[in-house]
Amino acid sequence: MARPSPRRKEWPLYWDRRIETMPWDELMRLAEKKLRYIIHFAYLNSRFYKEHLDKAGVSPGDVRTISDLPKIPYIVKDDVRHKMQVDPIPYGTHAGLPDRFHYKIATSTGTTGRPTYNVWSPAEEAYARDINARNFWAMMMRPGDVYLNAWRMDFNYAWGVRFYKTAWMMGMKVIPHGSAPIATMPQLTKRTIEELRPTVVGGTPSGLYHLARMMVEEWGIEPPFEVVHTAGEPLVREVRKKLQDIYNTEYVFDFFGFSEIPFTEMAEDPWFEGDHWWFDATVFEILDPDTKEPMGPGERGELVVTSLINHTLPIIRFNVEDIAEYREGPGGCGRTHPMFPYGVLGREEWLVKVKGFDGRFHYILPWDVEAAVREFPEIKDYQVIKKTRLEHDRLYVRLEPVKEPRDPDAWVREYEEKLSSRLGVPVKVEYAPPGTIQPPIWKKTYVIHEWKK
Amino acid sequence: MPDKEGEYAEILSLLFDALEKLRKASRIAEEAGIPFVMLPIRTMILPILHELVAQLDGYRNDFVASSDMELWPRIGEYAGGRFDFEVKRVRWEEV
Repeated sequence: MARPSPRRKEWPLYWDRRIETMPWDELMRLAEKKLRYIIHFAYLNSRFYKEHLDKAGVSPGDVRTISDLPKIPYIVKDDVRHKMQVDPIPYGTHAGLPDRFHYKIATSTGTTGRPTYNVWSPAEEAYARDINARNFWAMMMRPGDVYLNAWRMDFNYAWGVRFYKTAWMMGMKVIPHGSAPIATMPQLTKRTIEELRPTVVGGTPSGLYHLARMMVEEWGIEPPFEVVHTAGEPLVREVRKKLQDIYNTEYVFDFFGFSEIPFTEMAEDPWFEGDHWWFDATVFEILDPDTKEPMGPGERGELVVTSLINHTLPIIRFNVEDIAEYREGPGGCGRTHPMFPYGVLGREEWLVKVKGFDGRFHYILPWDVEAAVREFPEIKDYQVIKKTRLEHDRLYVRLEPVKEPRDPDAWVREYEEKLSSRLGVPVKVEYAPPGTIQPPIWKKTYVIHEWKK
Repeated sequence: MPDKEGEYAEILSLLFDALEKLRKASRIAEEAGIPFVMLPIRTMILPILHELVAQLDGYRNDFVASSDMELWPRIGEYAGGRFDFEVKRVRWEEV
């Protein structure tokens, strides 16, 4: 690959050398001091957390270390939704700071249901910009870049505006494009890319995959991007390879954040060993999905996080309901923080349990299907269909061809066989005529939950 | 090899000086009725400076408690004061 420019490497390697390379023992001591501070703060100021800890019979002084955290029961998004609807609306009993501190308001994306409100103080926002800049820097974004901000800039959404401000603070030129025009006004996107020649683009993997296909197949323009960074959905490694090929750059990165915390938690760097999780800002646990017991490095389980920064809306032992695994640092880059080799693998409710041809149960995530589907250029898009909460007799997949096949029934049979062979489980394909799976305006609908209807 | 820790300490000292001067400037602007000076200092410049100081000075996370919230324009009060309570502070040194 011809690009990206080697001049990016003339800048310092780290945004914040001292914290990114801090020896692990020292980093752990810092994280645990911050943990003690924030638990005391939340207990004293947020009625929700006071009641939550009191109910569990835990006092703030009982949690001295990260291994003490399981003394506090975890919370899930529905708990946040519930307390949001308790008087006084919109933050209910959650608020840890009075409203004269409230500054930046946003809502969550609504991936798992009704969006929730979030609010932060000016100091939290400033801190968040710094951590986001640490991530942007790891992903090789540099002053002087022209940044096509293809994140949502509407629907009360926090990240598009926050990334705009972060990039601006770092000395980039930012185009506030948003994600919607890519699907609804593609000619505006085409003209913007052709005339302004942005060097960085950010968006969801599915959105950027759609953009890549349009650029190459419909518009016939050479992508100018040197850095492509994606979040909001898992960056399937096969999709990364496709994006690297189409965009003609090795710098296609994954990073991760969620709405309840005002900064992104982790990002990759050019070593591609995994996403670095900034342990001075958020601590995490991985729990066994069945027993809820803590798991260690290399074990796949549910991600539970505690923000060391959130004061306005504290986040303590929040089960994100995502599946992930981590490994210990340091990486080849010298960063000492833990790493997530595959980023976040997907929503816990996306898991499909199917008995395979080997007689064992397989837990399939959409990215397993994505990896198989992307081997066949004649398939344009796919969706997984869930008929029950978890266990299925076969994997149900909706497939859309690029062009109408001569015999759709034969096409379906062909891909049932191919996907069954690739995935090792029986696959039932539902035919979706060309144009029926809508391109994403923001996040793609990977899974259709028929069992919820 | 430059003395990085020494450089950190020097930067921190200069930022503390800047914080003091900016606080004073914003108070004078408030008394003189000059919002275009007072408000950007309080809503944009001071929070960023506080964040830099918190990071440089041992990565403290009590930056909210230590920041200039007394100087913050009380916009929230116009929303009806639904979340009006006294903040109980935790001392970073004591945890």
